Amino acid sequence: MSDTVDPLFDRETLLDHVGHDVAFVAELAEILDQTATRHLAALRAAVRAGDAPAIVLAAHTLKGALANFRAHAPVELARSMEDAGAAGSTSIPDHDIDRLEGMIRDVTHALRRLSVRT
Amino acid sequence: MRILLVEDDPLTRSMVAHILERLGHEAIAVASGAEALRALRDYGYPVVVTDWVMPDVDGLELCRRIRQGDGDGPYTYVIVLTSREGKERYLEAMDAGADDFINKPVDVDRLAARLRAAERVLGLHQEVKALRSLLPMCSYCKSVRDDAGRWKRIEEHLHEREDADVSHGICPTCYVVHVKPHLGE
Repeated sequence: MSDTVDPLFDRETLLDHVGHDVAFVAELAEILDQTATRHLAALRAAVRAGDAPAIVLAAHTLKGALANFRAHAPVELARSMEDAGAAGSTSIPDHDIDRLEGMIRDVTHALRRLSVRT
Repeated sequence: MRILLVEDDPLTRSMVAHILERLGHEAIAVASGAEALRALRDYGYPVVVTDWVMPDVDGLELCRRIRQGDGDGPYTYVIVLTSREGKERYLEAMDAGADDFINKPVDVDRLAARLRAAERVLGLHQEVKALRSLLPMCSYCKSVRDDAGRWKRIEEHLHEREDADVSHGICPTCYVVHVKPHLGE
């Protein structure tokens, strides 16, 4: 795989949007790490409590945060959870949330790598 | 421009604030609609860029409250920023009093273009306000023209528009010029 192509998110658009400020990309990686942990915990708690509006809010926030990086796969997964919650469903499988968590971890790592190698 | 950014997600808040600063604007970021209302009351901002989905006061409620407060003061131009899509969402935001609507994720070029439009609209708004404060007056009889194009005496106009009444008297100059010559007759 090329060193400049990142399948997890749209690296070029991100760098263009932040004016190639890689120190700021590092800041974003840390913010994503901290906030995603909190929102994933809220999502799991909402599923356990059967609270559809809380599922929508947590999934919507995660989707919005990940969309900043044009990280399509996790955005679509978070969107499907938001749509499920909006339709009143609270049965989101644990493995889907685990998968989302893994994707977010991968994006965070990729952002950290980008900030040190660019 | 001074822009108030309202976004509850810290990541999007940092990202959009960074973009606004790069575009040459002064961005003040707050995390909720309630904070935004306080900032608007205390400092006033010509432009508000707000998220839609937020706890407590959401973006649309913020729009409504800003429009309720619109009076003689400067206009506040509101751009709603959201990942909600579709014509219905757009219309809902515009009905709440938004001036514009941008989908997330933010595209720098689109946001820059929208802010240029905001600047134009705010400039025109100021011009209209300045023109409205001009009072067209007849050079001869001093009647003034109201918004409906009717000419009326200044006393009548002041009473209707400013709720001010006029008491008539004679100034010292007019006394000398107009009154005194007739006193000896």
